[in-house]
Amino acid sequence: MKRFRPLWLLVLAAFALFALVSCSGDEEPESSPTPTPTPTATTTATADATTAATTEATVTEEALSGTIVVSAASSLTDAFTEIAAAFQDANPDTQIDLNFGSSSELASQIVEGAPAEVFASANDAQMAVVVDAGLASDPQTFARNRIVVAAPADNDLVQAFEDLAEPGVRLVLAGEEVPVGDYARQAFANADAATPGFSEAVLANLVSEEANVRAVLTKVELGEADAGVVYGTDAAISGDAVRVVDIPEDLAPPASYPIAVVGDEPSDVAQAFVAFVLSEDGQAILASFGFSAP
Amino acid sequence: MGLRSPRADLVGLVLLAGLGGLFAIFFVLPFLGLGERAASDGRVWELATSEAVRRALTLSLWTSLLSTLLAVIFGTPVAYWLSRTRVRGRALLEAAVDLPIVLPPTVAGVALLTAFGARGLVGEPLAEMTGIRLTFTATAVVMAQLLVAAPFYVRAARSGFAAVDPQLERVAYTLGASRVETFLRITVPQARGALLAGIVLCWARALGELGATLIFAGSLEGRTRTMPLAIIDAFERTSLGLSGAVSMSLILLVVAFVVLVLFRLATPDAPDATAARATQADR
Repeated sequence: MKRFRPLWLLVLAAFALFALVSCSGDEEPESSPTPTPTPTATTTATADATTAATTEATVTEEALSGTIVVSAASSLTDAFTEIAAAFQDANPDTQIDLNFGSSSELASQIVEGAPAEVFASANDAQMAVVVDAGLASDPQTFARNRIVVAAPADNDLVQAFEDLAEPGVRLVLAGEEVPVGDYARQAFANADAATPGFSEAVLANLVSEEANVRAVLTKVELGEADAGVVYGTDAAISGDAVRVVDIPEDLAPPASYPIAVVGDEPSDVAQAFVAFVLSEDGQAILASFGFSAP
Repeated sequence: MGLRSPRADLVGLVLLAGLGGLFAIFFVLPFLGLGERAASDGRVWELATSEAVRRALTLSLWTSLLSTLLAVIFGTPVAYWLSRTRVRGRALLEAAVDLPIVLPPTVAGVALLTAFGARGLVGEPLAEMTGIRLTFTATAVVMAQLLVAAPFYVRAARSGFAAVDPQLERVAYTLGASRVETFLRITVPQARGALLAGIVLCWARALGELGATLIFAGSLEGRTRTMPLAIIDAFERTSLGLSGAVSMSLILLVVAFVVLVLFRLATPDAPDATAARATQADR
């Protein structure tokens, strides 16, 4: 059997390598000796935390440590990236892993058991999915937003909200249960009162249902679509690539964003993060990206 | 050293059984999970017969079959030429043909946009001259599948052709057969197993195409939403829970299984054996 030895060795080596890689992967969230997001003893780093957290934002006196996953709506990508960075600056022993996607996708993931300590949704319906599943309670609204029509800057097919019903417009929306897709369809339906058949005419122009608001925005930025419905905050990020067409306020009520801690035994870090989002500092960051106060 | 050691044999056997067993469990469990969900969730069956599923399945079947057909039509001459040519840089050419096999399909999707999108190399002049826009159409679905799946056929066909003894073709020529005749009556039948294996691989890859389609063709029920895209869509619908995704996954599983079994029945000469022989000869 001698000639089989090298093969066995190879297999064993491959497994050893695999084990090594997966171990080092586990250890990656560096510095914190406890891999789980458990609050550690208050004695060690109190001074450290108080000097770092000079702002009034952090409500806790003790040093927070641990890693949490925050699942947040795509439209929050930029704002929450900055909020997480500010939170980590104030609490150096914490790590916030951000998971962005459509709120409906995130809700599906959480209900199916995906790890998440905080859920920030772009509408109440998807938050309700997680709350109804018994995985979160007491959501709090932390921001509002408005939907707009985004069109490529070099394409003047759509000049007003009514133009969406013109035949030949290539319209891209988010999926029906993705919050921004839902808000858009509500606005179209609301317009039916004044213009019967409006909603039907607009939806006949639909060429694609995208997975989330950022995917809609990309299709518009690339000029593939003549128009798409996104949040005002997303359109602002595109800058010159995108032209914004307002949707009458009476047709599109503001989008509201609820946030909640997920799970029965929320970690201190998760609670502190939610508090930070609701704090003055968190609100200031959200406002800087164009979100309005709740 | 050279003697058979019963102890080493035993260790080897245990290791083989252990690793093989774990491997098998890993592969069986996800399908058991699907089955368990389907059995316990009544909505799975209800959703399986929904209009959305019927339209997605229809679209998936015709687009994947069409892209496979196109792969065979356009890929066969390339594969044959690659198997016979001694041109410099053949290795580079072969690597280029194989590239989409290695690249994530999302890359293919982005690449397609840069070529055929509204502002693409070809897409922009095409839209200006004819008004035809390819993105968000079923044509785009087929193009995405073709780019991602055709290399699987070309690769298999190439090694299949390479395994055919050129001597046979020469004999056919001396007997007065034309090149085309020789190719169709000698080369193709000889490489039949490898070609069929390539066709199945190509079709399977086209049926499962997701990333490139999502980026280049978008997702709209009845127009561009194939089964894999419909599964993603269903997963994102919290009103369906996981039922919609499970239901469509099962359908796709059954379709793929039936096709593979039919393929096996239709080709008594097991294609993988032929392909293996072909690769051996290739070396």
